Amino acid sequence: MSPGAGKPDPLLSAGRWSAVGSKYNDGARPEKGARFTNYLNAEARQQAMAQRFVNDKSLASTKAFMDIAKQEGVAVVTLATAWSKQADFVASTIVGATHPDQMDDIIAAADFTISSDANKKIDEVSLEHRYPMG
Amino acid sequence: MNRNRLGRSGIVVSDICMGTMTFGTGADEKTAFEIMDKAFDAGIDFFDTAEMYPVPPDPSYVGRTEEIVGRWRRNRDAIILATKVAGPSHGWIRAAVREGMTVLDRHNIVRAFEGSLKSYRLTTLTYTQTHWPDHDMPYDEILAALDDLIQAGKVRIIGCSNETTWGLTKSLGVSELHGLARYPRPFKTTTV
Repeated sequence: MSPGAGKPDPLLSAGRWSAVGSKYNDGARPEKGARFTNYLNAEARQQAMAQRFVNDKSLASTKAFMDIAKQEGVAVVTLATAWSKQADFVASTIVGATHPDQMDDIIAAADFTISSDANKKIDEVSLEHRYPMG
Repeated sequence: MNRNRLGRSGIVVSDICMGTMTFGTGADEKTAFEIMDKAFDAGIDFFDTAEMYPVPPDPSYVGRTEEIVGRWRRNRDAIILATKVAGPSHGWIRAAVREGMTVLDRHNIVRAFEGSLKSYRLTTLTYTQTHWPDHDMPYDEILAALDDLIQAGKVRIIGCSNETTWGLTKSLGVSELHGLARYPRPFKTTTV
């Protein structure tokens, strides 16, 4: 990972946030242009990679993060981005988008600080769903 | 939008970095421009690309992301661009460049970087990184090649991506031993 641009925390995997748009919950595989839908339908290596991000554990923790985000009054993508950038060893948090509308929730993280209460709850989710990326 | 220094380098970047790996596949050029405009207007001045993008990597469109970012019309000095050199990735992915024969030796590092400059239509970039480590290559050659790019004034800082703890600490040790440029320290200093 790029020094300063990732989070090597052994308990919390940054990868678990990537399915965090929540599009993939409950077995949904959105048709139009959803990146992991494409990966999950591609050849073996792509599927293997995609399954690290979209699996029962990661989706379970995503659901829990969505609840926390709701309590904090923000979108789950905002929570995820804010969570990454709060670490003192992360100089910059890399985000991605395939549509400009996706940028709104990301940019909202610039002005959002996660409460210590929410951070505690986030840590508890990690303890409950360990190593969702394997 | 907060701004943080990359290690102890002269590079200070926005707290949020725009990733570009879907530009040219998931997002076409027009959409990519809209995304980058929105990002820039929100205060994001750091853009991360790679010679291999967009994903999933394919020789038929490799380099397209950097061409798109190169065509995006914005004040060059106001943007911090990071690129990456594709290595062998220990077989995890067959590089879509140089017939998949790329390794992190001097020859490929130089070709990769020159290729990125060409895609961007620029003569310098801010930041280059190894995309995956090459644990079979002596680190002194890898770091010397990257250091030479800095000495030649073509890039300002170097970094690594997808590196292991072993590889990162090895790199830092080799840089120190040979007086070469080093990867940035991870602890950020927040500047306003």
